[in-house]
Formats: sequence, structure tokens, C-alpha cells
Amino acid sequence: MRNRKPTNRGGAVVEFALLTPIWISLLLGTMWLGTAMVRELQVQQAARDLASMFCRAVDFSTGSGTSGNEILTDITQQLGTVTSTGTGVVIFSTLTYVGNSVCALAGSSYGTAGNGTPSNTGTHTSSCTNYGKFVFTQRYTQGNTNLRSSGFGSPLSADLDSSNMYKIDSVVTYVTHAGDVSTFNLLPAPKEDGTDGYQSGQPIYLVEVFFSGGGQVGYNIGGTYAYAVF
Amino acid sequence: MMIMFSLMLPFVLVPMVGLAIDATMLFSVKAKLQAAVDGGAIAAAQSLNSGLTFAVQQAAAQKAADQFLKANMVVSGAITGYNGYWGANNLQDGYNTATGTATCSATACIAAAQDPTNKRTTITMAATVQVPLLFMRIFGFSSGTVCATGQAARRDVVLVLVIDRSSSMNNTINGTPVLTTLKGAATSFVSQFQSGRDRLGLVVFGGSAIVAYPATDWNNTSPTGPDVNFMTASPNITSQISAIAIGSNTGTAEGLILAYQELKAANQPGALNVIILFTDGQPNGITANFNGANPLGQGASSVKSTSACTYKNNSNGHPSMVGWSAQWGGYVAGPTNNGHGINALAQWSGTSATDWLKSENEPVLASGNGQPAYNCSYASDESTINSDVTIPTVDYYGNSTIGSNVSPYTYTDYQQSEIWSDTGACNNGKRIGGNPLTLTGNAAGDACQVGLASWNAADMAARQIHADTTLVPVIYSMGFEGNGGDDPVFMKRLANLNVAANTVYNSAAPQGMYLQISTPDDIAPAFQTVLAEILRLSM
Repeated sequence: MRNRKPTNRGGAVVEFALLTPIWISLLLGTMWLGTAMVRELQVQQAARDLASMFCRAVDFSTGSGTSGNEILTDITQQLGTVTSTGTGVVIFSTLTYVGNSVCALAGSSYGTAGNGTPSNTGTHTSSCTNYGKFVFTQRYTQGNTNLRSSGFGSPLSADLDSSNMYKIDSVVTYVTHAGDVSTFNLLPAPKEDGTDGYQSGQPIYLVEVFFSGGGQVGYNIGGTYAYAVF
Repeated sequence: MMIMFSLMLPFVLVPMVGLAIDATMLFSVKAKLQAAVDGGAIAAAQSLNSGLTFAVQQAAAQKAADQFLKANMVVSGAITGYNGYWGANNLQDGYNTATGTATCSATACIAAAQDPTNKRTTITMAATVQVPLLFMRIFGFSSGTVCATGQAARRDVVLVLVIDRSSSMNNTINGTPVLTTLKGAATSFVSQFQSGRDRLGLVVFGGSAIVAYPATDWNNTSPTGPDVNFMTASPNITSQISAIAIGSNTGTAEGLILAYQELKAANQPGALNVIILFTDGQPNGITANFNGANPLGQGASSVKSTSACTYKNNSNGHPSMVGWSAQWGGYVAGPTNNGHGINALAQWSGTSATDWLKSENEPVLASGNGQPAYNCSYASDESTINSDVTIPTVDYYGNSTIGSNVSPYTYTDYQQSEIWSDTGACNNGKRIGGNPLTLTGNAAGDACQVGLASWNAADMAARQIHADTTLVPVIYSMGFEGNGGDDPVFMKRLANLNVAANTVYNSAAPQGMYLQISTPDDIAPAFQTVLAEILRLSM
């Protein structure tokens, strides 16, 4: 009987077996988190690209076959499908702040503003019920509307003109309808002296992008969202 | 192996994972910051219209840039309901809220610069934000700095506002004449442009037209083009707007052509060239050289041989009978009769554009306003308007009154337009039907054809403007449904809209916009809509 010298070869297998789960979880964890973050980056890029085009009068409101729709499809190709049953939704909104000048735009019974320009010398009447609020002046959505609604509220659908890029045609409508007020609070309320940066009446172009899937447990579960304000 | 792993953990694995996660996080923040910088720069470009001096405009732009940057890149604790994106903090763009100025450092800046060569104002923006790191802090890197730069440009705008002062604009709705409401809206509109950079002009038309700003001699022989001092000159564009009195007819063609001449005189090919037409009716006036040589084979002039006019043509040193004629009667309330027939364009007794604007009567050839009638009998009713002349086949500016110098308009051109009347009746604002070529006929009832000729001339004027590939002018048409209403198809043709009804759509020219305005309350919002579109296009 030969006396075998003990070796620690078995120990290496045990150590490997012990460490493999840690290795793999570290590796996969990094990959999972990485892909989710890259997706977030892509969604953010899509929001930025769409917003910069939206604010330059590119029309994304019409359906398939139009140039706006093709651009939208191309930009979001990596992320999913922007169709009514697809995995993505893009929400386009135009907002404005109702100051004296906007009340005055609605007519003399809503307010007056010095020379029509934003001015703190103007006055609004109690008829201008949305005074001091951000309101929607346009809204349309492309993609699967069941996935996510806007993070800034929605205007009354009855006020939107489907033949005119889903704009609210009448100023009287958006200075009086409480349903058209947005929860938007990303910009400070302008002082209306005309030189205070953002002025009342100036349009704010807002694009929100959401794609389902791609998220990981505990992080972006359900999907990825980004907005851009131009 | 355990030892190896233990050694690798701090020196290899954690840095590796840390790099992967932290770097991706920094890239995410960079994408967000980039969007924020873009949004800020564009908002700044939009805000350049504040104030009369560049210093004021720059200050407003810098503040707007700062506001929009912060709206996109929300840092911890800045706005209720929003968490800092990945805990991002210490957002820097060089803007000092307390002093309202931006100081540029190497990585944080908002600057506006005028670029006269390329006819634009550029906004350059750089911002940085700090992001706390998750893994790399083990090695002493507690945060990373992300930087993004962006640029936006606002093209200078060269704009001529063309305003209709025809008598129907005096209709009082809700206690206010339409013209009064329009003047308020137009004043508000022009004050939204960048003084010192944008160039604005004003053309006003009734039966004939005049360049009201920059104020010229009324006959506009040497147009100077819209200028940048539109708010500060004397008279300036707002004082000229307020001086507008009600005039007579609707000579749209001359209004458009004078506006185009102004754009050509300004000659700013890199800028956004815009004509905005506000009218409340269909064209019914035409300006022509009635005894001038007529290039379309109608003979030496359109003055009939049977006419008693002394100078049937303007050759041999005879005076030209330049004037305007209209389908309908003039402004009956005026002290002089500037009714049907030919009204003088030449030798108006007033001298300045402002005189013209303030007068409710445009010069009348036979009424002693300076221009002798030379035995022409111009005061006539609609059925006998042609006792002296036929309608010239081109107007004073070379626009064909039959549609085209080579091919006259066809039924298709008119059929969807309100100018068309299948019954051929000359009433209720409808022009007589039939072949437009009968324009050259002498039959009674040709007065109605003056309207058709005016429609054609205005349409050809717009086509001439859209054919300019150097200035690439955009036409916005605003139609107020006043006296008989505007003509939507016609207005869409003027704006070069790509719609089925527009049989002359020019795909090489930009599409404008047509706004149909049904009540005076909608006038100001319509101007605001046009303004938003112009500012969009100018970026």
C-alpha cells in the first residue's frame, strides 16, 4: 500500500466552486446594470433629439408614411416600437405661462398689458382664471398610450384641434379652462418685465419619452423615462 | 486562489466594476446635461427679442439659458418633486442669479455673440455638474465632473408686414373697429423682434399701396428695405401703424410686390425673409400704367381709341396714366369721390407716406389732387367703367392679370376658390365666370373682371416671390372674415401651402401658413401664432 502524500488539489475545486457565484453575479450584475444605464442614456438622447426638432417646427403629429413619423421611427429604432401596441410612447406638449400679456391676448375682458408686451403694468381681470399658471397649448402622443401618461398632466382632449397639430386654437380656452393647467414647475414664474429670461406667452416645447423593458430589478423596473424641455 | 481573489478584489475587480458602472453613470449624466445645454441655448436664442439694445437682449438670453438648463438638469433639492439626476449637484453655467450676469470660466459659460457676416446671433453655452461616484470613491474619487457644451443660432429676420386698410376694415364688431384691434395686435407683434438685429418694414394697402416704414416718399421709387431701427426711428414702425386710417379697396398685388421690393432692397440672403399679409377680403384693385405699352399684344395701351382721353399712349413724351382701378366703389364717406375708375398713383398732393396713411382718400385722378384727368372720364359706375379703357393684361409691376404671360389660368385654378361663380353673376363678391381671357373684352360688366384681374395679379405676385431662390421668402397669410370673407384657397396659394386645392404649389419654395380669423378676438392670438412660427424657423 502506497502511502499517498496529501495534496490540496481538491481544495482548489472547492474554492472555485465557492467563488464562482460571486464572480458570475459580479459579472452579470455589472452587465445588467450597464445595459439598463445605457438604455437610459439612449432614451435621454432620443428625448433631446426629438425636442430639438419639435422646437424647430418638425411635425410629429401625423401617422405613418410622413417624414415626421419616419424620423421618430429612426431615432427610436434601438429602443422599441412606437406604435399603438408597441413598447414605447412619446408625448409632445407645448406649454406657456399665463401672465398679463397672455390674459390680454385673450381679449380686453381678460386683461390689458402695456403695449401688448409682457409687462407688470398690465392687469388681468378675474375672468383670466388660469393667471399665474403654466397651461398646455398643444399635446399629441405617438405610440402606446397605455404605457405611461405625461408627468406634467394633460389638457382637456376636447380642447385640442386634431386638424391643427392638436393645438388649442383659442387663447380664451387655455386662460379659462382649469383642465388645461399643467403641473409643470420646472421653470420659475416670470416676472413679466420682458427681460427676465423666460417670458409669459413664450412657448415651452416639452418632449417625454418612455420605453418599457430593459430595466432591471430594483432599477428602472418597468421601463425607462426621460424628458427634455426646450 | 482565495488569496489571489482577495488580492484581485481591491486592485482589479472593484476598479473594473467601478469603471463600468461609474463611467456609464457619468455618460448618462452627460447625455442629460447635453440635452439641458441644448435646451438652454435654444431658449436663449428665443429670448433675444427682449429690449432695444444688445446688452439687454444678451442679459435676457443668459437668464433664459440658465432657467432652461436648470429645468432639464434638475439638481438635488432645486425643484419640489424632483431628485437630482444620479445625485448630480453643483450645476455651473457661469450665471450669477444675484447680479444677473454670466461670467465665463473655462468650463462654464453662456455667451451671446452677434455674427453680422452670417446674419445671425449665436449663443454658446457650457455647463458642468458634479456627480457623486459609487465605486471609485474607494480610491479617493468621490465625485466626477461632467461637462457639456452647446450652441444655438438665431437667424436675423427680415420681415415686411402688409396690412389691408380697405374700407371694410372699419366695420365695428363688439364696439371696436376691426382696424383698431388689428393695430393693437400688429404693434404688439412688431415689438417682439430683436431691435438692432432684425429688420422690419411695413406696407399698407387700400386700392393702392405704400411703404409706410421705413417711411419713404409715397411712390417708393428707390426702396431702402426694412431696417434694424424699426423701434427707435422717427417715425417708427409702431407710430406708422397707429397712423393708419381707413382707405378704399383691396389692391393686394401691389401690397405684396412692394413688400417683395423691400426684401430685395434689404438683400439679406442668409436671414429669414418673411412677408406677413393681413387682409379681410378678396383682391379687387389693380395698379397699372393704363396708357403704357402693353407687352401682351393688346396694342400700345389699354386706352380705347374711342376714348376722349388726350393721351391714349405715353409715347412721344406724353404723361403716363399710372393709377389704380377697382371693382367696387370707393370710400363713400370721404369728402371726395374716389369711386370707380382709375385713381392716380402719381402726383399725390401729399408728400410723405404718413400723409398718405392718415388720409382716408387715396389720390383720385380726376378730382384735382394734383393729377389732371386729361379729358378721361373716370368717374363711372361699374357697368360703364370701361368707357375709356380695357383692363391691361399686366399690372404696373409686370404681373399678368390673366394668370400667366404664357398660359392663362384655367378652370382648375379657380374652381375651389371663392372667386369662382358658376352662374357667372357679377354680384355678392363673386367675379364673373367664364374664360378669364375675356378680361380683354369691352362688354358691359367688365367691372367685375377688374376683380378677377386683381385676383390674378396678386396670385402672380406671390408666385414671383416664391420663385426667388436667393432670399427664399416665406409668406404668411392671415385672412379676417370681414366684408364677404377672405378666400381660403386664394390665401393658401399665397402662402404656398402644399394642399390639394393649391394647384400652383411650388415645392422648391418654403411653405408659409394660413390663419383664418373669424372674430376680432382672434387677431392678436393669430399674430402670436405667426410669431412663434417665425421664431421657430429662425433657429
